[in-house]
Amino acid sequence: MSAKALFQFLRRYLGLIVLAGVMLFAAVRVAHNQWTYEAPDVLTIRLCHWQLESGVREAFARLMREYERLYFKKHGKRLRVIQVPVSERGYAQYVNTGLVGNIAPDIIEKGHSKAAYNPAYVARFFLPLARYLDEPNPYNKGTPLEGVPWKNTFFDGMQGAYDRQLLDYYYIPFSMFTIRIFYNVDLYKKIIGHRAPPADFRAFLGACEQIRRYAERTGTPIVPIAGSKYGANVFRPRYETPFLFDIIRKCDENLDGTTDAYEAYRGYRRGVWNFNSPAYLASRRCRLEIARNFQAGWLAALRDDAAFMFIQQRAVMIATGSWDARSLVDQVGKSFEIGIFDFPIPVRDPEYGQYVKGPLSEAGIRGGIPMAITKQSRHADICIDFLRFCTTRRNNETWNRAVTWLPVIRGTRLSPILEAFKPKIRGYYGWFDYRISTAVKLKAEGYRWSLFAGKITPEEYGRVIGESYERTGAEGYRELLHKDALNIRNLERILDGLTVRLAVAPPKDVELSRAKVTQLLESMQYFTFMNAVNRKELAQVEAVAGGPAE
Amino acid sequence: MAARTKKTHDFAKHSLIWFVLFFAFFPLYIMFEISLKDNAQFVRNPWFPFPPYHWENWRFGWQLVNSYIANSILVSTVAVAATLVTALLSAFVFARYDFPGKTALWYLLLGLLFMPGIMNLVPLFILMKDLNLLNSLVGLTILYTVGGQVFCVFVLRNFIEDIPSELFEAAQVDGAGPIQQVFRIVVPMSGSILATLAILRFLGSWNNFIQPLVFISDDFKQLIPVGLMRLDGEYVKQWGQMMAGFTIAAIPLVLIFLFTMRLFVRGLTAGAVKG
Repeated sequence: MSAKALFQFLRRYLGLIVLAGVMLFAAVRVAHNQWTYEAPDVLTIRLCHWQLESGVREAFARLMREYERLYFKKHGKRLRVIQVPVSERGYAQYVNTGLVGNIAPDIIEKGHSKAAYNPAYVARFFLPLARYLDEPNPYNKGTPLEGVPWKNTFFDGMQGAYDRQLLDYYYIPFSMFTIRIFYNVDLYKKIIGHRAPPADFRAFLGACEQIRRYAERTGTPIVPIAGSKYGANVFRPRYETPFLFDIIRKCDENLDGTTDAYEAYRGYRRGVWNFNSPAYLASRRCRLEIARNFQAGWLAALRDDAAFMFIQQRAVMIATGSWDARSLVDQVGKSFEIGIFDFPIPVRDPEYGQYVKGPLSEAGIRGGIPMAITKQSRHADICIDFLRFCTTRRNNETWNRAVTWLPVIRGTRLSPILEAFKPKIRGYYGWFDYRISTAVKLKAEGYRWSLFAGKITPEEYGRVIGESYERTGAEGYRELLHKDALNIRNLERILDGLTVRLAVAPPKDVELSRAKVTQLLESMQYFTFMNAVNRKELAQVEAVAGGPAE
Repeated sequence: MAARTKKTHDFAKHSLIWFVLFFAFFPLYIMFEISLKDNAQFVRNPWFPFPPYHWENWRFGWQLVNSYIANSILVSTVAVAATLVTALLSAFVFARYDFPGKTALWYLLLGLLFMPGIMNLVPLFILMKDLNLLNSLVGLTILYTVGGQVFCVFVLRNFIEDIPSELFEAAQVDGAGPIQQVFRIVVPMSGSILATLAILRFLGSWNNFIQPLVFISDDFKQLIPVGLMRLDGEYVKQWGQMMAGFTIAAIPLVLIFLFTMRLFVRGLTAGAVKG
């Protein structure tokens, strides 16, 4: 073929040749994927999570490859463990459609979706793990944890993972998390004059003020704190709950250290607190003072926008959790030194000290990265084995070191950078839940950003939410009672099922089934009692307050 | 004077064209030049490329998206081919034959054009589940094939009706059956409209986001729109790698347009002038 003829041929058929080439590539790639993941002789386990932080996928991949090799050595069969990382914004939809369509991954990181929290869905879709957790983890053989029941190898004995309504464990945690403030030591030293983090709340505000002035004086686009809605939510528990310890103590009728929506409402009706109580107001003012140190327009910024600001040295500080430590350290590289300090709580503060008893204790921390096995999984036994493999002391430590998170297995060591994230036990424990109705929840959420945007004052915010609370509180209270009654009915159904199972259980499972029936009965008694108490208390409060609220 | 007016007009026209082209190509340019940077370079100057150029972003980007691209190409191409074959046969029947209930069936078919696709999502999900076609590229291909039928049949029927009936009668006299008539008369005469429909369908399948999101759960089976959305979900974004992935993902479409632009334009203008 002459050059001219070849040129003519190419000119005429180039499109077709390209199309054929591309199709060939596509067919080969798809066939390769099919062969890798879905060949008849390959068992495939899928694990989905939303942890897109730096290093997590690589750390998972390393564990998975090691487990695959081990599995092949033990069983002589090919196994593929694949991860499906899904971003947070699409995670709930991904999990829901998977569970409903019966195509969910074998192991799911529980979260975001209602299916992960609602007991009815949890019981329907996820495998209860108590019977496995009572047995020792075989991968701990030859280590100090040999023979120890699997659940007791976790830092909290899996207390945090226990579902008090379903009376079972439904997930295995991989890590735990705390929140702190990261700061750019180099920049901080240059502006403030020393590298030591602020000793107290006033010093913290003072440092922010100095940074603002420095930015104005030099014309450098630097702000004290990289802000976003996500970041504001990180500050919230540290600068709201400590202000409310007194209110919590006064409202906490069942002495569990927290104030649930029922107790809060009754306390409100008794006049213990309102949305403009001095302590509540002070907590809002305090958070507003902090938010003034965020960049302009922070309400529109996303979590990664704030992280990016910090990395690019346009913000001296950022508040986030230990989950971001690795991402930040990786991204910053050698550009500057990162320091970490705990939130300075205004305990002896001249303005706020009168309301704040002490910091929030991290004693009640739970394990995170909760991995649950779906009932749809055709290889639940392999999933259990894989999770056991992941939660040996060595593997949990290696995995968490790789991602720079806090491990959850006893006796594991931390990465040096995480020393600052060690949970602090000292302080007060408490939780105040005022969200009695959907209307209150929506109003509080919506108006919170108006408050931070400076559109309304802290007093106006309290008044608006207070009005909604006053108007919808009683109805919300009854609605909650109704939901609790439905939950009790669900428990009755579960009890029926367990009783039947107990009757036909093989001898080895009788003990466990009997224990579960007993626990469930106790649990039902508790819930029924609390439901009755909550009903009665409302009537008493309303009688004292002069009739039901409208 | 007339020459000066013409020059002024030309200048205005050209300015407008350059203005439009600038806005059309600017995102592509930005995507490409960021793909050669690391995050520090991106923040220092996001507008212009400067050394060192990080070509390794492209390697990383390719690793990220090559599976998605392969799946998208396979599903879209097979779906387009299947859509065109089936739609052509249906359109031929509607255009050339009379049968009881033809008009009612036609209007029923047209009614589907007005039904928003998202409305069918839940029934479709249940149907796919019952047919065991969830999380399957075959299932998605069938879905795309079916989804493109109505529009293609609608366009092709009108086109086939415009072909002189004498041609079909002559073919019948020569012993050609219906299938032969389709492939010997209709296909050669409607190359441009078929190409246009093929491109439109390919674009529709390639850019479809909601169906792969809902019907595919494995990452290695995922298609390009969902895959790219997931790249965007990183907490601390590696802009260079992400933009390299986006640029690579755009290349197949650019190639397709490059090779089929003439056919596409011809198809769009086909039938514009009668005579």
